[in-house]
Amino acid sequence: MAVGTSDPRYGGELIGANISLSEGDYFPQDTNEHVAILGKSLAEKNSLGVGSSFTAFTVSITVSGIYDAGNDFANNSVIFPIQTLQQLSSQDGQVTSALVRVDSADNLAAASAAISAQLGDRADVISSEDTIAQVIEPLENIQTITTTSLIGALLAATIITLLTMIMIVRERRKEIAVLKAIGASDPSIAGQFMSEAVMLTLLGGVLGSVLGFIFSNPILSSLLRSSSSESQLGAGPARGGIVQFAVGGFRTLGNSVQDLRAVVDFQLIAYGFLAAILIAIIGSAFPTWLIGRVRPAEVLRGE
Amino acid sequence: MLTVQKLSKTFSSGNSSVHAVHDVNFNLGSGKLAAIIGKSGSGKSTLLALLGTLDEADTGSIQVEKDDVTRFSEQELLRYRRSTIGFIFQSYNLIPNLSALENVMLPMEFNGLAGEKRKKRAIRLLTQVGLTEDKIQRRPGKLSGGEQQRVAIARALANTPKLILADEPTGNLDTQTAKTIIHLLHNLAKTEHATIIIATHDAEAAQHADQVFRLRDGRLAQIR
Repeated sequence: MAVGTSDPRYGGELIGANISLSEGDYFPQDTNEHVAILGKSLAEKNSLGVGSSFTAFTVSITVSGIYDAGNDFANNSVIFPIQTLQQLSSQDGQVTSALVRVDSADNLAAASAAISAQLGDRADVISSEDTIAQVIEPLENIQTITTTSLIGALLAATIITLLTMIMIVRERRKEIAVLKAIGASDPSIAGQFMSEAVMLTLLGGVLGSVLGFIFSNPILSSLLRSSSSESQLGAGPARGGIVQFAVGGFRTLGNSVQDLRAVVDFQLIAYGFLAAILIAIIGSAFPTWLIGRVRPAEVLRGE
Repeated sequence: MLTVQKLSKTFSSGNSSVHAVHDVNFNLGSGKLAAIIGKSGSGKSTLLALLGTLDEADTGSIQVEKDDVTRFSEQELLRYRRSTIGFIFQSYNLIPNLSALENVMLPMEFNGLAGEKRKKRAIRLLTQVGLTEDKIQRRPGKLSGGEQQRVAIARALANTPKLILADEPTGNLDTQTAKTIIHLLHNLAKTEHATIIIATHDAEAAQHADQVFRLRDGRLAQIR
């Protein structure tokens, strides 16, 4: 991939990476010399070093520096001075994107609005706020999905616990009647059933935690992939060009989002177990009320 | 020890009503074994449920020593059931996931007896009713019908009750085991100074009783 830039220090922005020179120097700003800086892999493949030449557009180009961008795609690119590339490719005055740096984040919105007004529909103006928002969007989607899933799971768990405990109380009516007949109080029987519910939900919590440890990262990756592709489809292509406002490093941030890893910390697990206990208490409240309604004489008469 | 006066209980369903227990009167002394014989549906189980305060009488009184238990509050009834009453059921009704020993210890736990004392007393009671030592740690499912009924009797004796109510205690047992169980209950009435009431449809089971009553359509008559 060949790109042109007026300032080679920010050339990495065009290829989606942060570059650092491993050999040689950057070419001067706003030059039209026949020079370029090469990615490390491209230079190695073509046995090029600083000061050596290669041919592009039938013109000999001198290598002024070799950079390492940390990834194979960017290391297989070449960065020219923008004027040189425009002249060689017969596209004088044409740009794909322009990077504007604003002195303060406070001025970002005003500068963005001013440039939008100036360029009209000839270019899309994207500020780093927009870009960060686009990068963050998949995370927000995931947050929405996980929050909705969490609420759904808590409701489902409560209802399942409720139904299970109702079933258990119904099945064990005779046992409840016998316990009452031999002197057990309603609260002591209710306490026994509630402790069984707590044990059940805590076992569920342990199982859920183990499954969480195993499947959290595959699920997160899957959600990130689907959310990112939705966001990209939603962003749409630029018609004329792009004017980008940078606070710096947002492309890298975008890549980092894809590399996110789920971490299950012990506080989270503690909250999970607390939720399990609450579910057990809420889910078994009605069944324990049913225990109070069991009349030993009625149940034991039906033997 | 036990005085029952004008005790009645009626069950209503729609327009029809059944007098399960109708104007029942009787007295029983301490350490006596009484048998109430009657056909199925004659009201035996209902009468025992009333005596054991598992059900509420419509009218009448049940006086145990000096207390009229029909006037007890819920808390008093709970204490009465724990300390004064022991139940024995036809189908044993042991807690299936507890061992024989734990089943006998359970009423003592409800009555607040300390752990080690509970265990000692439960072992003594199980030995007294004839359960061999190797079986006291077994769960009810691993015991024969006769052995389960022995455990149920030991459980009924757990809190040294004054009144033991046995509803068809030999109903699920073979003739020989039934005789042994009745003999055991008769002996316990003497040794434990407990009043034991057996409800049964089997006249043979009533042979060892000190007093025998017949219950027919809710009405009680003493026949011995």
